[in-house]
Amino acid sequence: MGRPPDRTEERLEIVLAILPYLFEQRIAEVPDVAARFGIPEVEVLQLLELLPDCGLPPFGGGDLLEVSIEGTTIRARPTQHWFNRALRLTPTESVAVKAAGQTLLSVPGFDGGALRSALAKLDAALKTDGLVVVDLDQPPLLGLVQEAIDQHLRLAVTYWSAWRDALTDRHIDPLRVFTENSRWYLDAFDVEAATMKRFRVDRTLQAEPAGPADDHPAPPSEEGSFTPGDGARRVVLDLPASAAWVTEAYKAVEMTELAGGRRRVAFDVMGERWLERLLLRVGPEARVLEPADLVDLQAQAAQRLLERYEA
Amino acid sequence: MAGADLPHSPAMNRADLRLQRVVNLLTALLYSGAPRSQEELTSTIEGYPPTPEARRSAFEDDKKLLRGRGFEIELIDKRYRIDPKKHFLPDLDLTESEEVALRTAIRLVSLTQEQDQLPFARIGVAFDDGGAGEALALRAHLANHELLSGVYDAMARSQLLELGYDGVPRVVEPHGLRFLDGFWYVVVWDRLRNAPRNLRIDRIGELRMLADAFVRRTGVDVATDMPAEPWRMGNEDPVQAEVRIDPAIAFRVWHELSGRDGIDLQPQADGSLLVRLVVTRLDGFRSWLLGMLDHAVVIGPADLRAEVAAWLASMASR
Repeated sequence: MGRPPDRTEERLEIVLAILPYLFEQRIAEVPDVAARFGIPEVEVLQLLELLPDCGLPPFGGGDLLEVSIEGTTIRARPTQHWFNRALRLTPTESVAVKAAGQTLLSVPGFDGGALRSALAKLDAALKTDGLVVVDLDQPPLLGLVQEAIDQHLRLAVTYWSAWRDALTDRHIDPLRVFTENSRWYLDAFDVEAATMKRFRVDRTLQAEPAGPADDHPAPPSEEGSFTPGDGARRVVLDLPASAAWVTEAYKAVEMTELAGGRRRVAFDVMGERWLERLLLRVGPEARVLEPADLVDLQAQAAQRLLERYEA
Repeated sequence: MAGADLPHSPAMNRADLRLQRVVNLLTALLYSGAPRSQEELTSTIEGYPPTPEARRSAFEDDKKLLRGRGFEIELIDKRYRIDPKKHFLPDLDLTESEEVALRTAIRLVSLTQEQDQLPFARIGVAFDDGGAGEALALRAHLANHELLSGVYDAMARSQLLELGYDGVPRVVEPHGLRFLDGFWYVVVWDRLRNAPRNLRIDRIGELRMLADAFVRRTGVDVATDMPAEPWRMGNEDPVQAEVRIDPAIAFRVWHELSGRDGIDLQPQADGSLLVRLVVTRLDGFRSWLLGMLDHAVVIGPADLRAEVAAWLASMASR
């Protein structure tokens, strides 16, 4: 039977997190400490049993951490000023907290006064002012959509469908918004289509409350901003090396590297307009391999647009 | 010491012994005042093996653990210490509303699917706020990258980076990180080219922080020095372009571009939108334009119209 995994690093992290808090509070209850730091109470107790025997070698008088526990009450005395300050954030943690703060500040309608001042204090302590900037899309209707979710309201929307390249009117019950790749997405129940769909908030032209929403089960995982619906067609493309951005921007079902940096890529596509956009942007070195009825799509779209320049 | 009615091991187990040993070692390295030798440390801290070889090996393991956690263990004349000033935050003195705000941000925004909340509890952002905090019906996922922390570390220390970018080696001053259109960019001053550059982090190859420090340049602004528009991300001769956008998508383009420097938007009586902008990168402009398909057309200048027409013709004739 193998040895259980070594959790020393993880447990050290917990000790370094709770000690400054205990020294500041001086008296604390185990359940409160456990809740504050997201640790099981039994783990808090097990760690606290170890700490009174810790300190500065050779452990003479006054060289031990003054932490004791009686029942569920913890007493701590910062006699030596050890571990009475929080550890600096690691670079990874700093990026995470600054990016989180910047992201929330860029949410339309969010009152960021307290967050700005909190980040300013952190920046002053870490000398990291201005090092991280997060640019997110700021769709004007994001606030209204959030309110509709909060208040369980249905929305009547005019929405530009990228697949159909057309404006559509519909009713939706919004359930969740999230941002991915700097875009804001909305998971909502499309009332007319009677199915859950994912929308881009910036493609919503108009939205108005339209009564109470129905109850719906929670939408599936946020991961992946696009999931193909019924009617999606598998399209296989041959793309040049210069089109590496395509697979960075869109999730391919399959991808095979070919000679000379070219790639054979398969997508599930809901409409021809999306494909036209992609092919025209990639340029003459792109090819549709399958299905046969779309092989000439690029030439047809290019000719159609070209007529506006030759007029 | 009385424990609660909760289970605990009747005797110290191996894991507890190691944790105690590491905490004591850390305390000694931080707070001894003077640096201490490996022999001093391992002979006075309980938990190190009795034989010299095993003791040295265990000491190396413990140092590796502490260094992995981010502690800089200095070696001075074969003696070790950690400077506490480098590793502890001053009191941030966060108000309750500031704590709540940070908590909201950290809860809602993540670089990874499962973000550890414990580090943020250290700076006063409690894991459980009892339901307080602004309730926002949103989540945000930012892309993560393994080089982010290394770049940030160099930035925070104002130390030069040596890196490969698209196969080309460079020495750069990292001035900032910017997340734009789903990618992290490093805003740098390229020492070889003596100019600012924006490097996409997933295109950086090997990365090494150099010992050399740099003074942050006042002229480099992370927020504004990197254009967000694809037609501005180049160094070609500027071309003043005029584009007509159909009424069907005019609202989107208006929302996308309004308020941006260097872009003039003129709504027309028929609901269309006239957009005037300066292009310094043709392929970026063309990609933006053709992404709008039939809903956008270049009005002028004639050369730019001809370029776009030639591009379309190269595909139409196949």
